[in-house]
Amino acid sequence: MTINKELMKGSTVILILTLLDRKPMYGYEMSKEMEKSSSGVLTLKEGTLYPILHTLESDGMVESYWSSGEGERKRKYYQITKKGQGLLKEKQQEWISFRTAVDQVLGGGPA
Amino acid sequence: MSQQQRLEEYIKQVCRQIRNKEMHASISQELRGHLEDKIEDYQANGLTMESAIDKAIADMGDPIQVGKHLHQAHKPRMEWSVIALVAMLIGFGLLVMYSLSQSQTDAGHLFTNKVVGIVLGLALFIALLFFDYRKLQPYSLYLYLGIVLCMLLTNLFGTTVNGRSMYLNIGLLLNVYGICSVLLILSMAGMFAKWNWEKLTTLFRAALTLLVPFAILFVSHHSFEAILLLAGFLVLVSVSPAPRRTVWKLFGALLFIISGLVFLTIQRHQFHRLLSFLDPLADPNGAGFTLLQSLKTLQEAELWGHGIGASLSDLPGTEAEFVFAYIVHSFGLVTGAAILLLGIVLLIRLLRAVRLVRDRYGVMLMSGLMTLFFIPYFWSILMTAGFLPIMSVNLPFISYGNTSFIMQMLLIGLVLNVYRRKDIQPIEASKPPAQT
Repeated sequence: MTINKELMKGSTVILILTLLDRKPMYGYEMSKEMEKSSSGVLTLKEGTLYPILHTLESDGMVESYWSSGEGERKRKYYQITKKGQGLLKEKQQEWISFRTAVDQVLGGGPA
Repeated sequence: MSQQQRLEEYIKQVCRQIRNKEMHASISQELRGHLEDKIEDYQANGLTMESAIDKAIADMGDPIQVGKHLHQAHKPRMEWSVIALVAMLIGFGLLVMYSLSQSQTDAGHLFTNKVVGIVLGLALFIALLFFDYRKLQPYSLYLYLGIVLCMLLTNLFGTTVNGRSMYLNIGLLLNVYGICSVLLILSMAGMFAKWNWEKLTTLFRAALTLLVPFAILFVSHHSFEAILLLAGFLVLVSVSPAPRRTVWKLFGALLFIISGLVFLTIQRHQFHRLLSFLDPLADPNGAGFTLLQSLKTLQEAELWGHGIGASLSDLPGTEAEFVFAYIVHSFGLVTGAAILLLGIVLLIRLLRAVRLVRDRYGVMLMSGLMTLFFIPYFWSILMTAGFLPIMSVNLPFISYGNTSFIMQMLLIGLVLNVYRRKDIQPIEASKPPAQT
């Protein structure tokens, strides 16, 4: 099943921050990791991933550094900052109340 | 077209949308790495080189769209709030000079010279914004040596005013002491950012770098400039990567050396005058006179003041050191409080901005220069109210004096320049930041 684009849009930032909260990663690694963690349901479109990462960086939510990975290829790693962890917590709260509310309306959650 | 060329063509198309050219190298590198990784994975899954490239590029999406989104993320940053606050201060400074020129005879130059200063300062400010501050760093040492040499020459051969050397005659009179603190901190930031602060010898070098110009300022009786230089230096060292413990050692040693210097050279009457703010009534017609006049002005001030053109002849220096007392007298307590508040808001905005800068030279430059702006700002207000010793301190942007005005424009221009370029990092300079 593929997820509607609009639904994906609103949750990309929280997904990216969640991934980076586990460990620093480079862009391609994140898009692979996302597919794996969501059993292939969620895909991070690279065309949106990089602009979002760069914006998060300029807002101080993540920071980046270059390193040559296992091979000789230079990779740009992203790492979450304290500020980014704060934003993630906020977004998680928001997500939980959103999910509960939607579940309630749909009749799937606690009545 | 070869495979490699197709990748490069795609990346070029993306970059064409990003107007900030300084970002192109690192974005290309990042996208190239991503595409190559992906192509390898597709090939490992049995695709031919040709279709692997097709798929990897298709996954990334329309290069124009990707480029446009990246452009949004890398537009040069402008702190409009800072520009607005500075514009308010400059505009108000012009009003104060107009008011002063109306209040006294033969004071028309206060206003006209301020207009000239604003035009020159604005031109410098705009030119500075569109120039990469990092290009200054290689010249730091030469700038430092040049300015120290000028200070030395001024001290030995300069024109003296009121018993202290002031100007260096180089065809025109150069106000060396008026420009030295900004230029010294500018050059020190560049030097310090390159040094290895783990080594002990660096601390000696740093101390020497400070003490030579500090001693010149001190013996030429430019004590406020000396204080500013010291404060700027302390801030530079605190934001340097030096380990906390060595920083404290350095500060301790400096405290020892400087208090020794002060103790040995300061004369009794200077000391007396410096501390007169604690008890101005002890010598109401001597050391305490100006402060008492200033305090009287503040106490008698009205909520909305006496209006434009009000005169305040009892207090000397209403266009410079005591401009704040004049503001409160003619524009009221409310306006005085607003000026204080404006400074606090400006400080908060800039502190927030400096925390987003990653480049070490940028952070040092910005914090050092901010120190040089905010210490005089708050000092000149607080000393008028008797909380700090009376020194020759001007209220930035408002007081009369084009040399200092232009230096303040230079300072704010550089600070905003660093912020503007905060997202532009050279690829080679980066290493993993400490895990927080």
